[in-house]
Amino acid sequence: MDAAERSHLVSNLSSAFGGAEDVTPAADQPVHVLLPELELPNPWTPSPTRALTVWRNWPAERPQFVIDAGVVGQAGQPPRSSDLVYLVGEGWRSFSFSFDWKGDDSVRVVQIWLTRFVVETI
Amino acid sequence: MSLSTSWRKLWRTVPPQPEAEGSAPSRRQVDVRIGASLFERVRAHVEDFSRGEEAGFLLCGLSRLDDRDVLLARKWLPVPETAIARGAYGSVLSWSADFNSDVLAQAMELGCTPILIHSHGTPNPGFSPDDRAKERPLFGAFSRIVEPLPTGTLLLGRGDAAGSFWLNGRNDLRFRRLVILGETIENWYPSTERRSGRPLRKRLNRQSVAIGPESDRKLADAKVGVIGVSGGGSHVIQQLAHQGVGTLMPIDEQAVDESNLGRLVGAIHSDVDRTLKVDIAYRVAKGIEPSIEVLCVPERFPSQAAIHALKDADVVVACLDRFDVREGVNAFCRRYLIPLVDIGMEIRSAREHLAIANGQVIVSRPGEPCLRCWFITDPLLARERQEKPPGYDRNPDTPGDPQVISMNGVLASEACNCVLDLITGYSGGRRESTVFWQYEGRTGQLDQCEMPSRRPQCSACAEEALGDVA
Repeated sequence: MDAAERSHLVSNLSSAFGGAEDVTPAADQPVHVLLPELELPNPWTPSPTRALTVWRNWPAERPQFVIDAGVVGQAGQPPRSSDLVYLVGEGWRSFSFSFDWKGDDSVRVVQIWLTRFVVETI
Repeated sequence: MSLSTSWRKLWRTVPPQPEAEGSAPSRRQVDVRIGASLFERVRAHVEDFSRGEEAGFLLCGLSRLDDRDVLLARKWLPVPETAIARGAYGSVLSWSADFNSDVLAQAMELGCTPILIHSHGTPNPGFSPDDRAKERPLFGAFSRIVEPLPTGTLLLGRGDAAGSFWLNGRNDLRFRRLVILGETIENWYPSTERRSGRPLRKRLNRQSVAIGPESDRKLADAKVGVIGVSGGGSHVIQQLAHQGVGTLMPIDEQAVDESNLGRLVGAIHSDVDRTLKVDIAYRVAKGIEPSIEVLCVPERFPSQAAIHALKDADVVVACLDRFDVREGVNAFCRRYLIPLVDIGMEIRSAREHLAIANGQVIVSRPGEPCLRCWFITDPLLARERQEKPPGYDRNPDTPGDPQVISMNGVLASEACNCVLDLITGYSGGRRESTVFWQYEGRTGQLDQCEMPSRRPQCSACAEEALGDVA
């Protein structure tokens, strides 16, 4: 991904979710975008929370999406089928969520990830 | 990445210095950690006196611990001859202000702090009046700019070093040691510091006869983190305790279940469904030597508590099944310049015999190839995510991976040899940093194999020495 594409990606995510930040650890690495104020569906807390997206081989592959390790549901439980992963110097929570990948646009794919929280709430 | 962005991130992510307790706050300490290959480049430059004294700056990430800051060497910027003025302004060695500005700009771009390095070519190093005169204006200014990171200067001796470190305009940090991470971990202390003459431990006298009495002190000072203390890690804990390691940090969130009794060293029947695996590690280590410090973290890596504990480790041993967790541990060890000893075993059965029983012991040192350079690949991780999605191993109905305790033990024993050599250097450099051990459990064969080279664009190596900075 060239500099213009990176900047476009960060700007799109920023417009949709607020304050997106390029936190890619080194220039030759896939783009890492921090979403510092991502709104989660009720009853997940804290909301807004931090999320990290990693755009490897975008748009051929769907991005990796992880959220702050402290996110819990109503009963204080972490999301189902989730685990901690270490990325850019921190522990984050990753979870399984299968959906068809059609090379959707960057904002849409984050929205799809968020539906996973709605599904678990229902 | 713009300068303003990187510093905003730094402000947010570097934890504040803990408040000193009590009425007389002790001086906060500074360690400097550096990979051996980078250190060789530094020495080659500053110990070449053919033109007079030389100097350069190490750009370092920060690992903030409770009692000290650890500066993690990432990049070396020697002062170029074109920037040097020798014998000018009444100084042995000085250089242009432009070079200082360039160093600061590069440090800020990386989220790092600069440390000035030079040498007088003598043992028992001490700063000269000229060094002291230069230090105050330079680091008084630098330390206000890079705050909250410390900055300062190191003077290399011969197996010892002097250091002077600054934070926010004040020269009140105490240099503790320079740690050089090669085939053996070398510690260069200030020559003024007398290492405590701890009595040798009688229980280690056979080992001390074998590998020298100095090994006792080195082992007593060592901190080793063990991630996963079940089939492989329980052996590791037991042997490291026997070997005399002073501080052990077992990390595991699981409790003992009945199937663990077939492979968890130290577990007994009454532990089933009651006792955490880290508590078994504690009981085993303390049973061997009550003075061993055992800091249990009953959580899964990378919880905050696990990261906090492991940042202070001299060596990490990973005894894990999952590649994604091993990838995380590998990235963590790169980030904090901690040598990693990784053991793994894959067993597949064909009815009453083994179809596959392959294991490895890999030592990954800072500056050398890491696990992500090599066998932990994107396709491997993708396959694992499909076969074992997040949360898979918490499902009590999931079938466990096949294991045989005696084969785990072979790998664990070799891993403990690796740790022993990293800490004491008992092999005299015969354990090369470019090899790993391959184990064939069916034949019992243990072979040394060549490690591949570092991979350009490796995601873990890209974060080498970045420390706490996101």
